[in-house]
Amino acid sequence: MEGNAALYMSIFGAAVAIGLPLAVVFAAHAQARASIAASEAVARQPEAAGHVWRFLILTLVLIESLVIYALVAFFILQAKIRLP
Amino acid sequence: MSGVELAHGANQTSIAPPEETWFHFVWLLTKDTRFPIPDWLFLCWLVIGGLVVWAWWTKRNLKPISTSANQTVAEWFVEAIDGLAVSAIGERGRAYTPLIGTLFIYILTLNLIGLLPGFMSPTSHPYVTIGLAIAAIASVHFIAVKELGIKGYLMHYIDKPLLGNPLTAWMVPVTICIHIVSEFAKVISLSMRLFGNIFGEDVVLYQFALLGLAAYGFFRGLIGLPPPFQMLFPFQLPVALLHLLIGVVQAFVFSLLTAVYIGMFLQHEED
Repeated sequence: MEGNAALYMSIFGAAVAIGLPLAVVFAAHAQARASIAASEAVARQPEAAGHVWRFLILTLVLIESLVIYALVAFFILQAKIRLP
Repeated sequence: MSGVELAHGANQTSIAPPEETWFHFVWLLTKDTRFPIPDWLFLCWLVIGGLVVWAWWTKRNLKPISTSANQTVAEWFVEAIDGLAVSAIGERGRAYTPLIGTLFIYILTLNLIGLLPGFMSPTSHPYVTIGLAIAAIASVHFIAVKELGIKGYLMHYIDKPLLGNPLTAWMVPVTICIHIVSEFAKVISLSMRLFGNIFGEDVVLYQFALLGLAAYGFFRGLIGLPPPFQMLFPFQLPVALLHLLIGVVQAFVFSLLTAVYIGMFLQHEED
C-alpha cells in the first residue's frame, strides 16, 4: 500500500472506530435524561406508572434507533477497511 | 471460531452458520444442493412447528375456568398482548392482537432459545431479523390499505396542513420523499435493533465463556485441576441473565413498534 493510501486508511479506520462510540455516548446521555424524567413523573404520580412506562419504552427505542443507524453505517464502513 | 471472526461474519453475505449447534448436520446435508438450509433457518422452522403444536394443544384443552398452568400462561399472554394492542392502536386494535401476539411470542422464543445448550438464537443472524421486519412493515401497509382504502392510504403521504398555504405547498413533494424514506428506515431500524442486541449479547456470552476457560487454564497450570473442573468459572452466567432480560425487552419492543406503526396509519382517519 502506498504511503498516502496507508495514511488515508489509518485516518479512515480511526474515524470508523470513533463514530459509533460517539453516537453511543450522546444516546446514553439522552436515554438517561428520558429515564430521569420518567422516574420523576412516576414518583409524582404513581397511578400513571403504566402510561409513563409505555411512553418511556417508546422514547428509548426511538433514541436507540439513531444509534442503530450509526451501527449500520459502522458495518458498511468497517467492510471498506483494507489492511495492507 | 474466535470472537473476532464472529464479529466479522456479521457483514458477510454468506449464509454459512456457525458450527456449534446440534443442527449443523442439516447444513452439512444440504449445503451442496440447490436449496441449502442453514442452522438458523432449520431452527426457525422448528420453533414455528413447536409453537403451532403448543397453540393447537392449548386450544384443544381449553376449559371455561383455567385449571392448568399452561392455560393460565396462555391467557396471561393473550390478555397482556391485547392490552398492548388496545393501548397503542385504540379500540380497533383488538383485531390485530393475533398479528402482534404472533410476532411477540415468535421473537421471544427465537431470542431465548439461544440460551439452551446446542442451540443458537436465529435472531442473531441479520437475514432472519430483516425478514421479520419486512413481514411486519408489509403487514402494517396491508392493514393500512385495508382500513383506509387506497385513497386514504396515499393521503397518508401528503401533509394536509402544507397544502392549505400556497407558500408551503411546494414542500409537499419533499415531504412525500421523506415519508417514503422513513418507511424504509422503519425496516432497517426494526431489523438492526433486534439483530444488534441479540448478536451483541451472543458475542459477550461467548467472550465471557472464553474468559472462564482461560481462568481454568490458569489454575490448571497452577494447582493441577483435572478436566471436569473446566466448568468451575461460569463467568457467562450473569450475562446469560442479562440475555434473558434483553430477549424479552426486544421482543416486546418489536411488537410494540409494529402496533405503534399501525396506530400511526389509522390515526389519520380520525383527523
